[in-house]
Amino acid sequence: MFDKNKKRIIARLDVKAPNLIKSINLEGLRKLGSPAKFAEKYYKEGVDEIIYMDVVASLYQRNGLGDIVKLTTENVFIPITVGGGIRTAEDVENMLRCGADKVAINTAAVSRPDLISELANVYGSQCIVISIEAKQTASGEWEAYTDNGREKTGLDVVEWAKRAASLGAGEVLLTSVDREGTRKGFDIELTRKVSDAVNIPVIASGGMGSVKDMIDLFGAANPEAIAIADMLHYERLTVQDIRRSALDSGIPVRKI
Amino acid sequence: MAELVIVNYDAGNIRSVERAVSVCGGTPVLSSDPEVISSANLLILPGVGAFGKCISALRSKNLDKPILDYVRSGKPILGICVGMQMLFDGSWEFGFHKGLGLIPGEVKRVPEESADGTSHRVPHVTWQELEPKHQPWDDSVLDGIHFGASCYFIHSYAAFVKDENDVLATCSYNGVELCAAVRRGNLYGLQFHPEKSGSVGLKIISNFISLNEAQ
Repeated sequence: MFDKNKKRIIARLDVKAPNLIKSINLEGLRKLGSPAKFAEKYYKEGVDEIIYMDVVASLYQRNGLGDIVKLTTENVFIPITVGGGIRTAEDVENMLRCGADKVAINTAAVSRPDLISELANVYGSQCIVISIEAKQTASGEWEAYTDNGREKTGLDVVEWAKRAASLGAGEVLLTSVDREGTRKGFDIELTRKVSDAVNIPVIASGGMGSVKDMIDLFGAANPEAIAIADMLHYERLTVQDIRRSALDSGIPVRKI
Repeated sequence: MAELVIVNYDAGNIRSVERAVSVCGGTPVLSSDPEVISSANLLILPGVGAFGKCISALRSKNLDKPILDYVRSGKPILGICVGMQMLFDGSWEFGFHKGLGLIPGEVKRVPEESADGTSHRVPHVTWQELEPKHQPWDDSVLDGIHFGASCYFIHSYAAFVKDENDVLATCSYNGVELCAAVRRGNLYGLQFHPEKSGSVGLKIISNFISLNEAQ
């Protein structure tokens, strides 16, 4: 036997520049403070990665995260993924220059899927994360949305994930719009369907309300990572609590 | 003469490498000037993206020869990720591309099967534990790092080293051994990203910086 690949614990920070915000069902509500400060705290607690999502970028056709990423990389030495409003190779280039390691794309990839291949060919698949906002439409069916769960795409989530992977995306950031911010647990069925359908890592996002939710998710589906937002932002749990619970339940995570 | 030069050829996020060197007490200089590169005291060759794009960017900026000149002087060089892969004979990523030919071996796709025959995911993205191979870690960039310490990997291709004695560390991806670090004299290569591997990674960068004093 061999040790199974390590699952990652990722802190997700939804940002309406210059603030970290808390949202429910991806609707931005409350300002929590400096994203870079939160990121640094999670880094010190031993989180595996940081995801920044600009929740208003698509609305205003811009991305206000560059400066926040720059500030963050002064003191944070773990991978940073940036999403929200990334449309062109120039946007990617700019984010990488600011210190991001990966970019997450949603709207721009939906409107022109070939963008995924173009970006993957230049920056490598490992740099391109396909961000999918999933809303359940019927039992066992989910539709992909853009603009923080506001705009329908008509795309079936599982089929879209497969297509994005075949076009060269390196990871899937799978957000359950229905669960996001609700603390009702991850959408296990959604995560299982997508992680079984693709051969690239899947990050499950949205809904974690307790360590049990994480244990249930990894027990029943096979994502490579979980993204956690307000459980961390409101200090309901620390990264150490989550890591310890994972190890205690036999989920392979990084030992610090 | 610049103390530590980071080869700047538009290969992704080098800001993090620069910042990591600074917090480790180094004074990094980003340069695409052949003379600055060949006369550095310490050289870091970063690299993110496809191998072919990286090596042709390096060649089109006429930086391959200065790097080879630098290496010939016997001073320490650290290749990171694709920067490490470029030290080898070549890579099979999107067709065959010749590398710098400094370490025998080729870069090939990470096997899509685990040791038990089931398929696993590529790219290989995770924190992985470093394990020793034949070389001791003392007096290398891994000096003082514990066996089993974790570093961050994100790659679809990996080096398959011809002479196992060049392998400094490995990691196990679901039982499949991958090359994590190489050393041949003062040539070092890391498949993982030390600048993204928290305190373990910073220690490795500090070790590299102190190779300058050790000479």
